[in-house]
Parts: sequence; structure tokens; C-alpha cells
Amino acid sequence: MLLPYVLVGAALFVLGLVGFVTRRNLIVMFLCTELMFQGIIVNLVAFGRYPLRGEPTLDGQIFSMFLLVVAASEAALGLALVVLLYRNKGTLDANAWTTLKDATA
Amino acid sequence: MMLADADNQLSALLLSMPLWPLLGSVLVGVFLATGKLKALSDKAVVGGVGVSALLGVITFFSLMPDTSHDDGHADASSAIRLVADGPVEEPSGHSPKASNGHADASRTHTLFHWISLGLDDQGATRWIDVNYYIDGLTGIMLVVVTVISLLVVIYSTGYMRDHHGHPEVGYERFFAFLGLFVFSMLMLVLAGNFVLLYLGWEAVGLCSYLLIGFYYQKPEAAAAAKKAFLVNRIGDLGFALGIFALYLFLSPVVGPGENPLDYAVAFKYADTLNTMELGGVAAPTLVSLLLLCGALGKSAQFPLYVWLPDAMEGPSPVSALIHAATMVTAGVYMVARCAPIFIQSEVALFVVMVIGLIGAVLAATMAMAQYDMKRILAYSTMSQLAFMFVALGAKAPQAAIFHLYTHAFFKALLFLSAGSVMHAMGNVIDVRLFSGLRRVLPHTYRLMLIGCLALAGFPLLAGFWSKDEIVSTVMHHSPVAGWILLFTAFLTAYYTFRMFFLCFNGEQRFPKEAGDHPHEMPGVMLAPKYLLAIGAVLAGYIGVSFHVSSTAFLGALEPHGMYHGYIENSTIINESHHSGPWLMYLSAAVALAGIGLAWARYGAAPRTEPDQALLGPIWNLWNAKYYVDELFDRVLVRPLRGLGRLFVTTDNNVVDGLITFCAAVPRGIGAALQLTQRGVLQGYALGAVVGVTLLLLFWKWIEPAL
Repeated sequence: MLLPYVLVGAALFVLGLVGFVTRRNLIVMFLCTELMFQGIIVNLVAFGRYPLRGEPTLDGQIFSMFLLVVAASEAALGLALVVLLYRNKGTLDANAWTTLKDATA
Repeated sequence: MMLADADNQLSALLLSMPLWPLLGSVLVGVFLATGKLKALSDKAVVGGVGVSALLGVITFFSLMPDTSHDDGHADASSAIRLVADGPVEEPSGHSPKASNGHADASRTHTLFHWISLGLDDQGATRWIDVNYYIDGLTGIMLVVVTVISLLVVIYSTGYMRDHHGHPEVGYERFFAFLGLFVFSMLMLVLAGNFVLLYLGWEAVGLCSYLLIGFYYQKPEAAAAAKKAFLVNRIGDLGFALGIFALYLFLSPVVGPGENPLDYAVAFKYADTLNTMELGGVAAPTLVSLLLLCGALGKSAQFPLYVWLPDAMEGPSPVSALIHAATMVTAGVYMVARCAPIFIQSEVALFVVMVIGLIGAVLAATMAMAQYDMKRILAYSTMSQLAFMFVALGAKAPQAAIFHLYTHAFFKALLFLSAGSVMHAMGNVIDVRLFSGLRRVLPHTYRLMLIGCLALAGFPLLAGFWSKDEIVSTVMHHSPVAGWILLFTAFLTAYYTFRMFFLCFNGEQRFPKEAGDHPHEMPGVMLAPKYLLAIGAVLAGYIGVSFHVSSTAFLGALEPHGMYHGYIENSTIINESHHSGPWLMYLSAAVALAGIGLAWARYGAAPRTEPDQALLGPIWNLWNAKYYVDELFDRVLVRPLRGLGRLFVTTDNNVVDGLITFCAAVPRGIGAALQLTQRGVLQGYALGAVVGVTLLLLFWKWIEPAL
């Protein structure tokens, strides 16, 4: 019964990836990264429950707990950064922030 | 005991001889640095050289052989007043084989240990010392160096001023260099080992560079100084190799604690060189020829003479100093000093003689077709030095040193007089541009006449005796060489008086640079020249030889040949014999013939050149100095410069190019990758996705297939 879970996880991940690459709004892009996280987490839990070899373990679920914590703290930091960026330029367009590229290019 | 103490004090004072001119130079440096007492600069150096001269003369007389001995031979006991209780040995300068006898230990005066050479095979420490070697040869050289230098330095205090008596720019610097020059030359002459000799040797080269290039703002002077230094460098390389070779050969032979580079040791074991060889060349020949290289450079002999005429760019007193007392005498001195080594090798002696003969004729012919008064004198110096080399090659070093000694007086006189002419003529020295100076410069006229007569070998003047000694011994050794020298002596008389007549005879005319009233020099410049003139007349009488005196017209004067007894109390080895007195009459006749021919052709100071009309292309060849400078330029300078350019091109393009390429590769890659870094977040994300996709595809499809 592994396949449906993996398909759902892959679908979530690809949705997040496509959204991240195509959308310009910083908040939407941020949400898309969260979506990719969830796709990964679904995978982790699924492989924990239906391992390819041996008995099912709780490893995947424990790992997903850690990931959730990391994602939560990252969300706090990331949203704060987005607010700051908005205050500086008055826009949420990612293309407004290209100043880290090489100056000569 | 008190006497011994007095002797010791005297000896310490004598050993301090070279330091006084150095002290003078250092004082000038202090004056210049502090900006105070600058007016004392010349006095400091004159004083320093003066003290040296006094000590030099005292040393000379303290080395005088004891004439109370019936055999008339040198006695070392009087010579070694300098060391209170040194062992007294009978020098055996008269026995050609006993070169061991020349290594009289009491002649070496060690001041202090200088450089440790570590332990030798026997476990004793070997030192290079700072030591002096004092014998008859040193005594003669000391007198020449210190006395002539003193007179030149005194003359310079007048010469290095403008027409209002104000010192020239760099006046103090000039005297500092002079003091340093005298110090270097004294170290060279006094040195008791080859390393110290080399030190003095190089210091003399440095000082000549500084003094020839004294007017360094003039490009010719700067070039001449550089040329002198570089040409000497070539010779000095050989000289250094010679010293190395000597050490290499003698190092295994010498006793415990003995340094093979000390004269005393080197000459003691010199005959062991005969048994050695290196690469098929006999050791004495190798060492002698390498040492000779150094002498050729310093003494301006063929083929390393090219720097000497150009050295005339320096102030006239410097020319006098270089040509009479210091620098060029060093080579002759060194070969004479190393006679115990040279005498081991017939090949080396032959080379010395041949080089001397070539130089004598070459220089004399070149001098016949020059117009620059100082250059004529420079070529005459080269020619006279070549005479000395021939004598050295003919195993008559005592004759060479005798000529060196008399030559110093009249050549210094000639250069200082030429300086006077130059001074009066507003720095014009071309003999075509003035004539008839007899009435304008009466003192210079008289002094120059004495100098020229001495140089030409006019009978009874200093140059006559020494030149006759050389020709006489060489004629006995090799008649061919003797006749060549006689011919050269004729040329010498001829070109010397060609110059003299062009300068002082004929109608009176000056170049416009001379102004309205060319004038004679002040007393401070005339006095040294008169003293030199006395030397140019009388200096030869210390060496009128026994042989000649017994038969020739000087018998009534009873010349005692004091010089020969004196000089034989040294390391030189005299194996020469005199020819008959007929030769003396002949050489007197030759000198008179040369002067007479010059009178006939140039006595009226003709405006055109009679010799050029007569000799045509040969004269032009002489005038162009055999195109030797041009030849060297084509054969050596230009190829070397071309090689240098090749190296520069290679360095700039190939070597630097490689490095530039190494730097350009990462820069290019960076520039390419820079385009991908656009700062757009989605772009980076896409790049990561594409990369991961490619990796996945690789792992899935390509890696399994490999």
C-alpha cells in the first residue's frame, strides 16, 4: 500500500516546486516551500510505515516531527524577513531583490 | 729592551699606514653628513695621505739592506726592524731554485685573525688573517703609492676649483674618494695573503669607478666608469679563479695551521705545484694564467685595455693617480709578487711576454695617431706597462718594478701638466685646437718637456735607466722581443714629442673656450709638479745597474745599484742577464732619433697631419684605434645585448605568458559562470531542479550502462 502515499507525496512536492519556480510573490513562494516539506514528510511517514525491507518502525514519524519543528522555526524567521523586505521596497515581487548578483554582470 | 719597545711602537705606527687616508675619507663623510667643517675636507685627506707618505718613506728606509756587508747582498736583519724579535734569515734571492727562501716568515706581520677556514687535515685551525707582507718589493711600492698620491692630492686642492678659486661641486666627495683610493691601494700593496689582496684589488676597482665617473652628469664619464668597471670584472673573474685554483692545489700540501693563501706559505710550497695538474694543464700554468687575467684587466693590457683611454673622462688628477700610483700598477705588482709561481711555468711567462709585446706595439701605434692629449698619454701608459709585462715574462721582475717606479714619477708629471694645459685652455684637450703655448705656460712647458724626455727615454733621465734595464734584460732573454721593444721605444719617443710639439711649438693660438688670458696655475699646483719633475730626472739613479756602470760613461759617478740589492730582498726572482753596454748607446740613439724625427715632422706644429699624408690608411687605422672598440662592440657587446633582448622577450612573453595564461583560465571560467548568477531566486531553484533531474537520469540510465 506504499504507492498511493508516495504518489501523494510526490504530487505535493512537485506542486510546491512548480509553484516556487513560477510564482513571484514572496509569501506564495514561501508557502510553496512549506508544500514541498509536506510532500517529503508524507514520504518519510509512508516509508516508515511500509518499509521496503524488514518490519515497520517509528523512525519516519520521529524524523517528520523534527522536520515540522524546523519548518515552524523557519516559518517564523522567513515571514519576519518577508515583512522586512516589504517594508524596504513596498513590494513582494521576488524580482525586486536581485542585489546579491555579481555587480559586473 | 727600551729599544725593542721603541721598535714596537714604531712598527705599530708603520702598520697603521693604510688607515690614515681612510680616516681622512671618513672625516670628510662626517663633515658632509653634519654639514659642518666642510672647508676642512681637503685638509683631512691631504693630512691622512701625508701621514701615510711619511710612514711609507720611513718603511722604505727601514727595509734598506745593510750595505756594510761585503757581498753587497741584502741582509734581512735591517729589513725586519718592524718585528722586534722575528727570526732573522738570510734571504736567498740570488739562487733561482730556492723559492723556499722567499717565504721568510718574519716578513709577515699578522694583525688579527679574520676568517676561519675550519680545521685542516691535521686538525689545526686554518685562518685567513689580516696580515701584511713587507719586503723590498712592498717598500718600493709603498714609496710610489704614498708619495705620488700625496703630490696628486695636493695638486687636486688647486685643480678642483674654478677660475675664481671656489671649489667645484662635489669637491669634498672627490677628496673622500681619493682617500679611499689610496687606502685601497695601500691595502693591496701591503696585503700578506691573496684574500686581502683581492679585497684591495676590488676596492681599487670600485674607487676607479667612482673617480672616473666623478662627473657623472656627463654621459661619457658615466659610460667610461661603467666600462672600466665591467672590463675589470672580466679580469677579476679569472683572478678569483686563480686564487681558488691555488688553494685547491696547495691545500693538501701545506703544514698544519698554514693557510695556502698566505704569501709566505704559498711561495714556500710553490715548487710543489710542478707535480700537479688539472684537466691536463700543469698546475703552475693554470694558476699563473688565471692570475694573469686579473693583471691584464687592472694593468690595462691587451685585450682588456679598452677601458684605459676612456678613463680619461675623469678629472686629470685621477688620471695621474690611476696611471702612476694606483690601479694600473696593481697588475704589474701582483705578477712580480707572484714570481715564485710564475717562474714555475715557462708557458705562462711566454704568454706574459707575448701579451706585453702585442700591447706595447699596439698602444704605441695607436698613440701616434691621436689628437686628445690625455688619450695619447693613456696609450703611452699602456705601452709602458706592456714594457713591464715583457720584462716580467723575461724573468726580470726587478726591471719591471724599476720601470714602474720611475714611470710613476714622469707619468704623474705628464698627466698633471696635461691637466694644467686643459685648465688653461678651458677644458679643451684636442692638440689640433691650440699650439704655441710655450710663452703662455712657461712652467708647464718646462715640466712637460722634462716629463716627455723621461718618457721618451732621453739619456740620463729616469725613464732612460729603467727602460734600458728592461730592453737590456729582454734582449738577452729573447733578441726578437728585445728588438721589438727597441722599435717601440723609438715610436714612444716619436709620438711623445709629436704631442709635445703640437702643443707647445708653432704659432700661438687658443680655442675660444680659453678666454683672453690663459694663465699658469697657482703655486699649490706647481710645487707638486716640480717635485715630480725632480723625481723624473733623478729617480732612476737608485737603480743604475752594476753592469752598465762598470763599462759605460757613468763609471765616474759610481752608481751603486742600491735598488737591485733592495728589491732582491723580496719574493721576486731575478733570473735575468744584461746585454752589453752597446745596447745602452743604441737605446739612447733610438730615443734621440725618435725625438729628432718628431722635431723634423712636427717641430713647427703643422696644421695638417704629415703622417696621415705619408701613411694614409695605416694612419687612419691607428687613428681609429684598430677598430678594436668597434670589434668588441660587434663581437661581444652586440651579441650579448641581443642575447639579453632575447631573454627579455622570452621572459616577457613565454614565462610571463604562461603565468598570465594560468591566471586567465580561472578568470574566464568565472566570467562564464558569472552570467548564471543573475540574483533571481527562481533561477537558482530551477538550476537545482535541473541538476537533480540530470543526476537522477544519470544514475538511472547512464551509470548502469557504463
